[in-house]
Amino acid sequence: MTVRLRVPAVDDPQFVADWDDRARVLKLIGSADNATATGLAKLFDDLHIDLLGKQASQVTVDMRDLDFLGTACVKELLGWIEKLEDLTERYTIKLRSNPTIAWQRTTLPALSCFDTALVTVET
Amino acid sequence: MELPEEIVQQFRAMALVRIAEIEASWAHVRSSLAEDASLAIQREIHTLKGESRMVGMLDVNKVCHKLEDLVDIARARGYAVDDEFDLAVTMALRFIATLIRKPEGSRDIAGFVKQLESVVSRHGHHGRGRPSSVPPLLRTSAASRITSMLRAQLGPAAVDAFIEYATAQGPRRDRLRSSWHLLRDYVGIQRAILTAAHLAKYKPSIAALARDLGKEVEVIFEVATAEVTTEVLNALDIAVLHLVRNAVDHGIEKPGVRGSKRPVGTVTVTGRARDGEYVLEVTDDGNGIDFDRVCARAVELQLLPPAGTLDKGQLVELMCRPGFSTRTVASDVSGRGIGLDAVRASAVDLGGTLSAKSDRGKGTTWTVRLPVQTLVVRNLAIRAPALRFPIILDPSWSLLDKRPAKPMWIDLAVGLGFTSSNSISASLHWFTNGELSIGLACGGKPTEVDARRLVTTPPTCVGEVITVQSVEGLLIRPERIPGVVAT
Repeated sequence: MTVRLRVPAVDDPQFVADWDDRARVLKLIGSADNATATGLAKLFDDLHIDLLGKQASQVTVDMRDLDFLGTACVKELLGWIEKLEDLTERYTIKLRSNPTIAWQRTTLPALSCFDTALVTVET
Repeated sequence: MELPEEIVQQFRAMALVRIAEIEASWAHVRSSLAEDASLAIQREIHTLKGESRMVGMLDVNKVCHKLEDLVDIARARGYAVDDEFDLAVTMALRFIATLIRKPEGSRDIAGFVKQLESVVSRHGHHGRGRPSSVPPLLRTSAASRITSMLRAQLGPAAVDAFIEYATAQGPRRDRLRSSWHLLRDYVGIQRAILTAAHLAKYKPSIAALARDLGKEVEVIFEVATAEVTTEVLNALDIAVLHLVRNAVDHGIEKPGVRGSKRPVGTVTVTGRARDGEYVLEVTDDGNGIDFDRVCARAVELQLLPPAGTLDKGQLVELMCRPGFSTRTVASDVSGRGIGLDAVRASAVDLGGTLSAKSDRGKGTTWTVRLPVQTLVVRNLAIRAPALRFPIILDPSWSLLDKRPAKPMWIDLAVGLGFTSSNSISASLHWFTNGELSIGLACGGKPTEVDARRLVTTPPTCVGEVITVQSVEGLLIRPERIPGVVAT
């Protein structure tokens, strides 16, 4: 079952987040500028709590159709990773990337460097 | 050689503060091109880089070095950088913070540095010193001075808040207590004990730096213990860090080229408080400053016309300008022209100075002079009717042993805006500051005490907050009290 999530508190036609609960895939589509960051932070928080509750072992964040992610949004993504770093029982994050999108080529591999055991990038 | 855990913890705490400041300055400079914020970014990163090396966090040092490359490019472009670049800077700062918080995690340092290098390479970093890298003229703002200005402005308000709190009763007193404590924490003097051990904490790392550079250096610390404010301590920390590193890197020669001098170079750090200032000197017996090279570099950077000449003092001034370095390629130790600027900026911010004297072939002495506040005042303490906290008179006032010819009588409680209850048995005592003579009702005989200054104010204000044996009270300047009642 795929649930289409509107990022809370953001009425942004440029950006959509789809959450597939069964496959545990969060698909980010469009362009998330800095105004989206607050809503995205809430989404990551909710997912984090849900995944911990379900004792998930991995979540996939599919960014193949994500044209742009603003600095503030990347900070929220880093915040999510930092939260996991402090846990002993944790799930890993797989970032599914599109190497034809310039920002993804540099930013996503750099994200995985923060904790190679926690974040992987799939091209 | 391992540093004491306490020093590493201090570094971690301070480094995270620096990163927060860099992040704020980065956001500021991206939106307003403020020159002060731009310089603050460079100074903080350079200091972070130096400190991380000194505490042995070489991974942090490495990422800082790449971050400096990124910031150099951004500055040269007036901070008009694209989102990818902005992301790289942001992530580098967060990566450094992560390394500092949890150095033991499974990080890919080499991979991260490689990513930063690819951004640097794509944005065409050609190295420092080329005309194209001369930064554009940015707008000047007073952002970096706001803190000290704000502190000075808030001092009198904090004194008022203390008086309101200290004279209030019941629930009102509880409400006012939190306001006063907030102001006190923000405005009050933070004290620290400066010792030779404090400044010598980087000694093992300096020795390691010398080894890395193939030099033999003995570093001697002759620093007198003194109580200073934390601002002065931080400024001295920055000075020792950069000046000693510079002495080892630029001043001291390798053993084979020291001529008739001892093969082991010497760097001596001396510090002492005298005549209202703290004087720190960093002296090396190295090659001295090559003023001809400084002059030539100034011409290259178009800071001086081709036929221009400056005296040594003016050339030293040039050396302290942000971005000035005689090196055209920055190493991971120095060469970006940030260190001396950071030392001077931190000194100037406190009203101090940085100067140098140098003899070619013999060595250089850098001198930092910082004004130091008088932290303890000794004068007469009085017990005033209706006021339940310690009060001392400004040191310009002294006790008279007999009634003067034309005295004024002051009720301190009324003068400070409260109703005097005369709840204690009081007797009149007479005081003078040479110009005025006043009578004050005091409970008991005035006695001399040492008071520690807590919130300082200009001499035009009615008083300051002090502590006497850890109890908060007021230092009063009677001549500034409104509503003086002449009798």
